[in-house]
Order: sequence, then structure tokens, then C-alpha cells
Amino acid sequence: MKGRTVRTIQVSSQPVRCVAYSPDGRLLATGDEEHQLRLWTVPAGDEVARFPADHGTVEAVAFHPSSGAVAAGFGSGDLTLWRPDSDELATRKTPHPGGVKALAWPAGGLLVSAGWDRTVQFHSPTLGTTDGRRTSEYPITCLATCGAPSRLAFADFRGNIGLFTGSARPAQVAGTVGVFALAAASVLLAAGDASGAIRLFRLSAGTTDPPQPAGTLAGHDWTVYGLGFTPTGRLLVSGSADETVRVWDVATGRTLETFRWHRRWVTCLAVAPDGMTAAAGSADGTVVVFDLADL
Amino acid sequence: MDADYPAAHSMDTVWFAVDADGHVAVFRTGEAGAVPLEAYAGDEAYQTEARLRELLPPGTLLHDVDGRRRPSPRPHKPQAWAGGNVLMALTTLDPVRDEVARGTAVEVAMTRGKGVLFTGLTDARLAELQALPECLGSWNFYADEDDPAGMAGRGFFVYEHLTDNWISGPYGREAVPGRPIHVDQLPPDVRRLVGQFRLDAVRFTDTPHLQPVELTECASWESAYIDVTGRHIRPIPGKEDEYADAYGEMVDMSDEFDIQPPPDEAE
Repeated sequence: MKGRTVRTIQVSSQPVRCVAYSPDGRLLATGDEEHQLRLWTVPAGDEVARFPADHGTVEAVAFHPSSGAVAAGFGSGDLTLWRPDSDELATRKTPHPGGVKALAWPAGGLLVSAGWDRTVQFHSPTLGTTDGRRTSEYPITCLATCGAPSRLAFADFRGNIGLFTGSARPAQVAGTVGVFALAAASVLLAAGDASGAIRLFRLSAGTTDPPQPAGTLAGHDWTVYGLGFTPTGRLLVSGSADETVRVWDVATGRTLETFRWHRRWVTCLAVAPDGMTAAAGSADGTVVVFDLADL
Repeated sequence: MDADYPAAHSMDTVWFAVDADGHVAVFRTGEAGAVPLEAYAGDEAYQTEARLRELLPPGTLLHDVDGRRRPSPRPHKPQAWAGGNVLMALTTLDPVRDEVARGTAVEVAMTRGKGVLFTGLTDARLAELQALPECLGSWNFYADEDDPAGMAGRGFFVYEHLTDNWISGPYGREAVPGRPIHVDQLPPDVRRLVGQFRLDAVRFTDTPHLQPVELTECASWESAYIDVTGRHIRPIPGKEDEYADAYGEMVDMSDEFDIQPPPDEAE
């Protein structure tokens, strides 16, 4: 069955705020408004670890590309890092007053965090130091990496989209419409905004050119909060405040499937590294893991 | 039950609510509007509003024609007086094209019809315009020149308490955002605070007037409220004794309102 749900995980009684697959695709990390960071097996959906902490809501989560370490950003502005090899939990206190908004971990690089304090910060892989910092006019709302260090994209509350490396000017998506979801695959960038539109951009080989518009996917009625490409870039999966998850054929721009599993808005989404499944989290406290194989 | 506003005990406060769609509204109480006990309100709410104005980029808004009208079974009469800025809604700009051309009236977006903001009107000219069938309403307008977008321009529905300081009247939707914000777009601490009071049966998009006393337990400095139709006066739950004391003064308004007698009198 196309897009069948593999598992519905009742993560929390409160909204799920973030979700991420481990690099080997065997674990799913979720963060919620019960202040819990949890690890689950996929596809079984068994909880294997939980990290309660007095850091507030878990707003963002990201796995290290190879080590299995998992970083979390919180509503308090704190960052934590759990390393499976040492079973230690490191904490950096309030690098982002007002809360962490997004995390990204480019391959072989520093952990990147963005917060409501309008800064983007670059941390060592152990959270021991902060090795760089930038300030923006509007809060950065999302980060996306293709895995290559030069391809770290950002978007902000105003709708600006850009790359951190190079001198490229950011692309303005549209006036006052904020971008709240970002995904990257090779030369393509997808940005989901507060209108429900998903705008595609093509990244040039160089780092001096801004992202170029490459089409718009229209279908969601409300803010897009989650985006993910399959590894080949053929499919794009989106989740929205309109409570639906959509799967798009990127080449044609058509919606292949629309799913309405959740009782409240979709808050976050991730695609497995092998592209066979995806996971959508919701304000109803659930994460639905679903099959992409037949699409 | 004593009057006891959440948090600040100020007569003039703001409170926030989230609706079924996840839209967010800010309510301005004036001096008599009721405040839901669960809602985030008071001085801290004012400070949060100021922080949001700083944090969020300004956008577009529409001034609400129907929400600005006090609900009443009687035909609506334009309310503004000359002096200061006047916001006027019309079916067409034809009657005011001269003022627009001279720059003494600026076209603004309204939820229906056409809108203009006058920066100076004589009594005579205002009365002339208000008498036109094209006039949908007029209101005195207090602009924040430093921040014309305000909260509506930042995605919030803005409701104002519509009646004077003698009763808790309905709130009217004063402005709607050009693009409503979703509650999850807010910073985590603000999201938690404004989201602590949810109106799951309400959609701000469809709700020009709202009387919170009819929806939830509220605090108010007054003992009586006007219902959302604008027709009925009733005691605020828990304030029946004060209402009984005030009832005699309200009876004089019985040609405008259907005033519920105090419990003893009703029996």
C-alpha cells in the first residue's frame, strides 16, 4: 500500500517538536514539549533511551553524520550532546537566549545552531567550544545541509534564503512570508513558507551565486513545518500546519500522495537516509513512520 | 468573588488566545473588558507584546469594518468625532477623492469596502460623510507612528473592548493580519504563554465579536456583561450580589438592552 504507516508512535501527551533519523537509519530521535529527548528503534518503534532534563521544550535535534552522537537544542536556549561511546551528556548553557530554533551537522564539520537571539553559532563536535558566530537581522528559522561542508543553507523569518559560505546574496523568497522548513538534495533546495507554498531553488556549483528559483509546489493550506528529500532527490516529503503530509514528484511538481494521519498540525518531518521511510511528528504527540518504497 | 485580574491587577491590560486553527489573537481590555482566568495577561503580557514587535518582521494588515462595530440590534451609526485621525470605511472612494488627492486622506486596507484615514476633518465635513449611504462606519484612530504595522501587521488578530467603563462588553476584532501567524512560528516561551488559553471552538477568521464571559471563567472589574449579540445584559458569574446592587442603575437602559433581573428579583 502506498505510503502505508509502518508505525504510529505515541511519543508524548504534548506536541512533538522535532524528529531526526540516525545516520544508519536504525534510530529515530524525537523532542517534545514534555521536555524529553527520546530515542526509538525504527521500524519497531521501541523506546531505547530517554534524556529528561531541565532545559525546556526540545526544539531541535540532529545526529552527528558518523559517530551517532545526538545534539539537542532547547526552548531555554541550552544545547546538549549525548555521545553513545561514552554515554555522557554534555551541556552548553544558553548560547541562544530565547531558545534554539534549528540545528544542523554538516559532514566532518562543526555543529551549527540557530536561535531566537538572531545568531548562528558553530560549535566543536564535543560542545567544548564555540568556534564562530554570525548575527542576522531576523531570526534564522531553519538550516539544511546536503552533507558537504560548503552546502549549509539557512532561511529566516523574513523569507530570506541563503548559503553560509561564499559571498552569495540570500534569495528573497517573498516579501514578508517567513520560511519555516528547509531541505537540500545535491543542487536543489526546498523552502516551505508560512503560506503553505514550497519553493524550489537550484544551487550553483560556485559559492558566489544566490540560489536561483526553480519552481513552486502548491498544495498545503498553511505553514509548512517539515521537509525532506529522498536521497536521489526524486521525491520531496512535506508536513504542514494543515495537518497533512504530502509526497511530491520533484521533476513534475505533482503531489503523489496526501496523507491525513494526525489530529493536529504536523510540526516536523524527517526522511530516512535510505529513503525507504519517513517520519512525521505532530502537535497531537505522535510520530507516524510511513513507507515511501512504493511511491 | 472579588474582582481579581490575572497577574497585574491593572484595569487596562492585554491577554492572548489561540484558536482552533492555531491563529493567535491579542485582546485589549480597555478598563472594563473581562479577562479569562487561564489567559496570559497583565504587565508581563504587555512586555511580551513589545518583544514580539521587536522580533517579528512587520507586514500588512486590514482594518476590520464589522469587528469595529459594537454589536447591537439597532442600526449601526458612525461613531467618530472630528479632531485627531478618523478611520472611515466606504463602499466607494468617490466621496473622498478630493481629500485623497490633497493628501489629507490616505487609502488603507479594510476587510470590506474601501478605507481611508483622515488626518484632519472639520465637524461639518465629518457629519456630511457620515450621513452618506456609502459610509460603512467611522472611528477615531490612534496610530502608533513608530510602528504602523502593530500586532496585526505581525500576524495577530487584534480585538478591542468595545464598550465604555461601566460594563464588560464584547470584544470587537479591530484588525486582521494580512497573513495570520501560526502559534508554532513563535519563540518557545511565547508559544507556551500565549497558548495557555485556547479557544478550540473559535476561529478568529470567522469571529468579529467575542464575549469571553460566555466561553470561560473570567475576571472583571464589573459585575455585569453584555452578550456577544449586544442585546442582553447579565451578571458575571460569581458577582450576582454586586449585580443586584447595580441593577437599579441599569434599568434605565432597558429600551436598549434586555436586562436580566437579579436572582431574587426574578423569583
